[in-house]
Amino acid sequence: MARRRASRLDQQLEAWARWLAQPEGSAAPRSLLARWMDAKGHLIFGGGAPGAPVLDLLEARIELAVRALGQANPLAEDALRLEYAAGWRLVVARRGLRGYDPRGLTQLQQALHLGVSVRTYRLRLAEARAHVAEHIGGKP
Amino acid sequence: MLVIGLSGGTEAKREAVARRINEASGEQFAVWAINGTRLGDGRARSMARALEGANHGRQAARGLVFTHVLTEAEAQVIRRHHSGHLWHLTGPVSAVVDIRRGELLVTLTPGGDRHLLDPLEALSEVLLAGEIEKLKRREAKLLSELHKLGAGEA
Repeated sequence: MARRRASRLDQQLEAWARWLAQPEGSAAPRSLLARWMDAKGHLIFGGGAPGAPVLDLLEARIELAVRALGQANPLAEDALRLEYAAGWRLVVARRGLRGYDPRGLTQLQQALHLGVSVRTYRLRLAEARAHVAEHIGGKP
Repeated sequence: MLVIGLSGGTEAKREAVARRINEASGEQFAVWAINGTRLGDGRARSMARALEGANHGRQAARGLVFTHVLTEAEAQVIRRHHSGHLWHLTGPVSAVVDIRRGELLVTLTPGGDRHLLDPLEALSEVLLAGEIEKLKRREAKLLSELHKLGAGEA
């Protein structure tokens, strides 16, 4: 299948992936993914210590939408995470993927890592994108 | 080693599918084409010899694609191989090679079309089937070893 042209949603999802991957020790806060794993999935945005800044970032909203999606459709969540390399370590840990390196993987390789056909991978990915778009008020 | 045979469609379509498989596999699938329109047993024998050679070559390919499966005899060579898969290209399907249950129908239309798979989709089906087969063999071997252990203790 010919690759779609990159859309605004693609840019937002790539920003989400970069936000999740913020390294530790940098000027930026510790990565959200690291904090979420430490909190065992119970991370509340903006509800912490008094005076703490409220996180109303688009990337945070995407992460919440993806996690909500994963409750009902874990394969869609995983397909989205692998496609954009956003929190891919979670997928690796959850599924016990061996030898997974996100660099330069094709959709065929991603699908095989998840144990599904390319068609299923693409369908779940499309569902995930549509879900995120609906939640952030954009177009898939 | 996976073996894929392409039947039906046109010569150009089969070559396009073979190229897609080769590219998608990172060139781990070798492509083997008998060109020409003379149909006869010689084609099936050449195919069988090529399979034999691929199994014993210095550098075994991950897979082998036979681009032009034009006769039922050639199709049988593919079907007899333990990891052989016959794909039937549409536009039009072959009038000579039967389409059997479990064999994939393939189109060049990106994204496929209902039950017709595009080459990448079809390749993923074949690779997945290979992985499942490997897992089943490993499981059977493990069960057999456990059984022997259990019998030994008894």
